[in-house]
Amino acid sequence: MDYSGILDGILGQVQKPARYVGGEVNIVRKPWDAGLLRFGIAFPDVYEVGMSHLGLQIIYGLLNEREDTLCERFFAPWTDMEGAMRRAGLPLLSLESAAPAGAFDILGFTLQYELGATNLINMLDLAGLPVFAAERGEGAPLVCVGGPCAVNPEPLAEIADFFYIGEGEVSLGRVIETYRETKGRPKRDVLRELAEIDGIYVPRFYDARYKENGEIERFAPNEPGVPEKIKRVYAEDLNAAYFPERPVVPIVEAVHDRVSLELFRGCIRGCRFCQAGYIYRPARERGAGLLLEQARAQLANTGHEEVSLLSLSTSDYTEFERLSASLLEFCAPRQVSLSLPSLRVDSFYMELLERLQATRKSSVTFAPEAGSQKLRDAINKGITESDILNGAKMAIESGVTRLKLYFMAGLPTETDEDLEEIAELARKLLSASPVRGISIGISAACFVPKPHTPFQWEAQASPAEFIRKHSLVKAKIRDRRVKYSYHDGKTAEVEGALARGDRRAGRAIVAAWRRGARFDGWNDMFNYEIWRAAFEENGLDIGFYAARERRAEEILPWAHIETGVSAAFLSRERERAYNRLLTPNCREKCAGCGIDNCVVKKAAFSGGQPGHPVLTRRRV
Amino acid sequence: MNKYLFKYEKTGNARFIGHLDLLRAFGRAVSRAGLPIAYSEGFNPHRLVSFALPLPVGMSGLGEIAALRMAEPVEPRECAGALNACLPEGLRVLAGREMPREEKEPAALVRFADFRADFADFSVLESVERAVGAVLAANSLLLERESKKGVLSFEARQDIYDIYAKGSSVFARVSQGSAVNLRFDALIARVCRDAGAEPDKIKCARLALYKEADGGAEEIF
Repeated sequence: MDYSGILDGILGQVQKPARYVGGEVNIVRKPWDAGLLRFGIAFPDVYEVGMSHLGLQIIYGLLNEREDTLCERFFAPWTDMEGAMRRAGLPLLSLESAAPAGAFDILGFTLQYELGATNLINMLDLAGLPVFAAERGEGAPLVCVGGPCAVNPEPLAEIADFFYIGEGEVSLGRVIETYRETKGRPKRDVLRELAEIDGIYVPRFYDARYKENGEIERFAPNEPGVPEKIKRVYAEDLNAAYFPERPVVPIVEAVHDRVSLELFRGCIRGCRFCQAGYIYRPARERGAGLLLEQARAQLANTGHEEVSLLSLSTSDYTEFERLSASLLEFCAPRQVSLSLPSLRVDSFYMELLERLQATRKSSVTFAPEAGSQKLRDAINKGITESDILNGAKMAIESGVTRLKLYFMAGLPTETDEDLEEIAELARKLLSASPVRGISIGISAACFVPKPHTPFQWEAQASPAEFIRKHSLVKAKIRDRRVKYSYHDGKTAEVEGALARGDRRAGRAIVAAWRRGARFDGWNDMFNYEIWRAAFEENGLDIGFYAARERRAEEILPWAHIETGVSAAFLSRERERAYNRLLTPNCREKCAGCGIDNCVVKKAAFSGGQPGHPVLTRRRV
Repeated sequence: MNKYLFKYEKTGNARFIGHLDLLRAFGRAVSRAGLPIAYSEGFNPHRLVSFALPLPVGMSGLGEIAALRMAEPVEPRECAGALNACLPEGLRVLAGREMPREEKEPAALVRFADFRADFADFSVLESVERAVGAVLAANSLLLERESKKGVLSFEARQDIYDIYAKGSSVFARVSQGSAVNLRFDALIARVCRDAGAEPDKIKCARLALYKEADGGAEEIF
């Protein structure tokens, strides 16, 4: 059926209708009826957010390069469009062919944030599909979930048919081939074959049994031969990995509307709160020469005005000076600006700032994460107060008038004194400033313990505790030059419950969606009451998932997912946090995290210099 | 001066691209085409691409005008071809010409535009024709538009220079530009109301942009 007429009829009623029509530069359209495997890549947020995501462009390009596959995009319609679609009876449509999602072979969602789960469910419903995998029939597409949230797949285990754990470049090809080979056979058989592929987790082949106290008693396969543990897959050599040289150019301004160069994956730092620092190990670099080539090709093929470097800690890139110099040389005469997030503030950085003609930075952002040295050591942040003070001084001397500082409240081992030191640090920065007229913006997030990190067993502060903590800091700030803002502990509670939830928590997500939860990651859309009711309705306690400290012996819901980092290492790191011991970065000294054939260990990286403040340009 | 005018159309799905997104899309096409576009001065240089007049989102444009300033002389016909290889679907350059030094910016010139509204429901055509005739015959016509303060009504008759029905379409020439800009969709909504037609099913297009010349209208491109 051709839905374009109905679509056309409702686009006049919605905001930003171009989100829903496609037709962008560099899209790929393949014949619908040529026997190709139809893969829908679905991003559970609006177009502008999804189109900012490099991973989506990689998978889109990678799959469309295959002659046996067509890959088309789906995004979550904003609430006005959802209403119009439901009124008109219009299903979720792809942007390339305006084809209904239900007509695809595989729908692959990338879940970047736990609170995107209700949008994912909503997209399945808009596709006309039952949200629970067990209720979807033989003809329905297979629903796959990947992305960082898949490292704890359990909350969505009854919704997805299979999970892809790790980086798309590695096993997607085999998923496609296996699907093609088994097509026409019962869905169960197809999934059984998929379960043989590295990184693929098929939850229906595993059962969980629970104790009276709610903990997991036993988690094991119910199907002979499927792996007991599912190993995350990662691309060993980023220089050989697929990279999209013709990314789709967003037609509605995306949040990050620019050429992205992925300097490396993973991070050598090992900050104990940071999930990305563990689940993307080992740190793998892409060569500077290749990055330059990719920048040239992407700029030529997109017409973008900006190049941005993508990594968890840009300054740790081995050839950073060479790369930034060559990029500047290439970009400046072409009126292309260069943005450098996640940099340490040091003299080289200041020099670079001056050379970036387009950059008149009036503000610089630091992420000390914790107010006191003691707590910064506990989280292995590895920067000192003098690093921050010196970095700020350099920035101010170069003309910066506003400092932004990011902190987290609710970190393990945190005391009220640690929190008060946030205010103290701001005071020191102001009094150490060589010039007047400096203002400071402090933003405090709520710490949410994440799976596969040293803090995965920790208790999370309750919303009430977060209010107390934030009030404590706020009361200590008396200087009018300092502005304090903080995140909401209620959103953090739900995020925490989903991040560390088990299979049963999925029922609460579906219930929240039924009660109208959408776009929960958007501040003005989040509705706490809905979530409380959704958990209660299913006899579940949010606190059991978010607030509770896990016993060391407990079977964690994600224990069958192996990232390659050993539980023993995480436990050791937790112990070191309690003793406020720093763990050196991976290049300085291997900490023995358990990664097999670690490239950082093998290659003699030329060492970065630890102990500089990290400068981030935080994303919106 | 190296300034060039391009006449282009914005149809199909490109109708839904908003003004700022269109500016970005056009600019990026210019870069992909490798044209020697000139940039503004200052801290945030941007490409010197401008449009004669924004087009309401959802409406087709069949004779829209873009002005491009180049860093060096170019052959406008070749540019048009290069741009067409690089523009998103629904945007197509129809012609290009050099802009004489003395010619004013198109944005400053626009005074009138021709529009067309296509009715898919043939059963209302007769009453539409009557409603159109009534508009033409009236001395005063109050139209409504939504604003932040609610629905405002305004006198529009003096800004309608011509309006007639032909086949299943209504054609009109109305005031357009930075000084007076009559919303054609408001006019058509009124015609629909009078004729008992459903405005949601009507497709509108802006056909051509005019400047004032010798007391009359003359196409800018």
